[in-house]
Amino acid sequence: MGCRENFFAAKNVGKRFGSQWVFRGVEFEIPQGECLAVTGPNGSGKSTLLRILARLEQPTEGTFSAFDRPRMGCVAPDLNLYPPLTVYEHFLFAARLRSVQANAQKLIEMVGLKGAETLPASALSTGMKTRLKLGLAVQHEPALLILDEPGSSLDAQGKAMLAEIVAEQKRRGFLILATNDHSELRFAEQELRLG
Amino acid sequence: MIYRWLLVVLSIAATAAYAFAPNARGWSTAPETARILFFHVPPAMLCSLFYLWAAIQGGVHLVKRSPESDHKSSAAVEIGTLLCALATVTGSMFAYIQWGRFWDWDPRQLDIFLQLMVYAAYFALRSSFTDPQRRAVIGAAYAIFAFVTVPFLIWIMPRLVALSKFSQHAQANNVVIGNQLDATYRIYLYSTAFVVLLVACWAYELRTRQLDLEQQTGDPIANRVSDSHPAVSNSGVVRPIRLRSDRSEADS
Amino acid sequence: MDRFNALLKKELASELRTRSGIYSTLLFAVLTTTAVGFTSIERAPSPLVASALLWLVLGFASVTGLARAFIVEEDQRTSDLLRLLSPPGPVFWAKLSYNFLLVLAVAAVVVPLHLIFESVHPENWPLLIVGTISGCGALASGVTFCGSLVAKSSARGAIAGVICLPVLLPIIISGMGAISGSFESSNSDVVIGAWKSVAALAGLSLVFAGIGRQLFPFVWES
Repeated sequence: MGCRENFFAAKNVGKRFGSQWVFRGVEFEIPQGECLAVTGPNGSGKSTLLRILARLEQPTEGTFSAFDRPRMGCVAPDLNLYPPLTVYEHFLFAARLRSVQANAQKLIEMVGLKGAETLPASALSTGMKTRLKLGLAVQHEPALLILDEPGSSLDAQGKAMLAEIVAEQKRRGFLILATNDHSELRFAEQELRLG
Repeated sequence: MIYRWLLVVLSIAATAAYAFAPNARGWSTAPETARILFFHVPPAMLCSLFYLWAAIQGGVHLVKRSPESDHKSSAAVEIGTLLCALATVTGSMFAYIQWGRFWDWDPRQLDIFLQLMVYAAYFALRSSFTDPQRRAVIGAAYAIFAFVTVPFLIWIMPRLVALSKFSQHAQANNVVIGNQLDATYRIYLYSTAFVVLLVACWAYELRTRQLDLEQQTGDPIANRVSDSHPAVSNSGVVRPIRLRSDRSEADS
Repeated sequence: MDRFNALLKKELASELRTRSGIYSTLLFAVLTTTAVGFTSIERAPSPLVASALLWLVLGFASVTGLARAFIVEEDQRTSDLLRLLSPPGPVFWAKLSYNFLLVLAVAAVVVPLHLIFESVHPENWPLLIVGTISGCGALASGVTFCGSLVAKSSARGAIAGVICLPVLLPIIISGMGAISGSFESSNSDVVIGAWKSVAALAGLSLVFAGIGRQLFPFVWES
């Protein structure tokens, strides 16, 4: 599928694990600056669809406008951090691999991890890990941001921070959000229901 | 069609090899056993050819991702391994009769056996993946990587190893490799090698066709599923619904 | 190059902080060296047997220790993060370099210990050292690639050894030729043969690393 710069689109995307189709015929087209929310019950394939769009998995069928890895940011519950590396080291590590400015202090402040810079990821709570992942995902100002249930482990302050990140991403490019939380639907212009 | 004639040719060749080939000259023990040559040397020579073909088709698969190339690659490994096992077994039978032990740590014997081991791992590797696409890619990558060891085992290892000085088998190999066979033996050897090659190709083609057919019509599991899960229809399209038409609304 | 440095630094930092990988690999190597040393209780083994036993230990230690490099990424589910952050090339070279350092550390402990246990005295030190280093290079490059093949399998822990070992057998054979030559320097033919084995080991390292690097992107993205 031709990749028009102002649209992020998928056509007839389907995924089968072994004998079982998780979903088929997924189609969408989102213009720049909009957010697509992917909803559906557990097991309907939300995370799988997001992994496919992040190019971490191959679809069984269908096409979509693929972004280069350096232009994507991704947060997912099963996208783990390196347990022995500290918060600060994660930002340095990611920045060197992406060849961008680390901006570690600014990002740590933004995601509210000030004071935890020197803690290893293994010592972080689930919510703090999500904050760190969010910071890493937007470090290089990606054109496409993919968030898999980002709000589920965040407190009120964390959700406010999430809203800021979402607003900024919509100014910058595309946003895809898998969620079961109805309050997060307010971020989205389109809703794709799976299952 | 021509393959049917092959069986006839093979039978004639096998009979001829046993009936007409003379006993080996200058062998003290059991000179008649030299005839095993006709069944031992061809598989040993041909197995590497099939491994080469498996690596080539593996490369094709990595580029094209077509199921057919995966079938060709894995069928070639299967046939190559069969030939390799035949060479190992006939070789050690011959070693037992001639030198009184099945295993002689001869570089050639070792080279065939190590090839067998390297490609036996291929099956272990494939069977540990459930996703067919991933299994095909990993299998193709291993088929190429494993083939790197084949020229090493055939050409470099026998020239290196300190083992060769302990082996009696080396002389027997040099007779074949150094082209010191007498004319009758050479003709029989080349004709049996040709017949073995054709039969192996036949087996390879049948196996490839079987795998292709299983993929096309078989896939019984996939067919069963679309019936048992009517929720996921084949023709249905999942499209998003628009929550807001005006973007400014979202920002406010 | 900057990516490679960052990745190698990450490998070293995570291993040095947890130490579980390094410690267990070294301990495994020392334990097998001891067990293998039982063979020389009655009498000292011949040079060929002594070097075969040495490569047996190094081969098994690399299969258990080095194949972890990629398996650990899948086990702690960090491989997706790595895939998002870096192209495959630097990942492969960083893992290979880390494995090379690890197997060198193992050899630095095991080789002297083995010489003491087996009461063999190397007469050609350059041959012993260069042979060991090039053999370690071949082990590292062979196991790094094979480890990446099994990493995505559900049975990765169980089959890692089975997949890596066959490829290591040619390395072990060549390594035997190299090291046994260092134990008997009186015979010049043997020494020349041993240097040929060293060349073969170096060649295997380069070929395994080169082919592995070419194939790795397909495996990494599969």
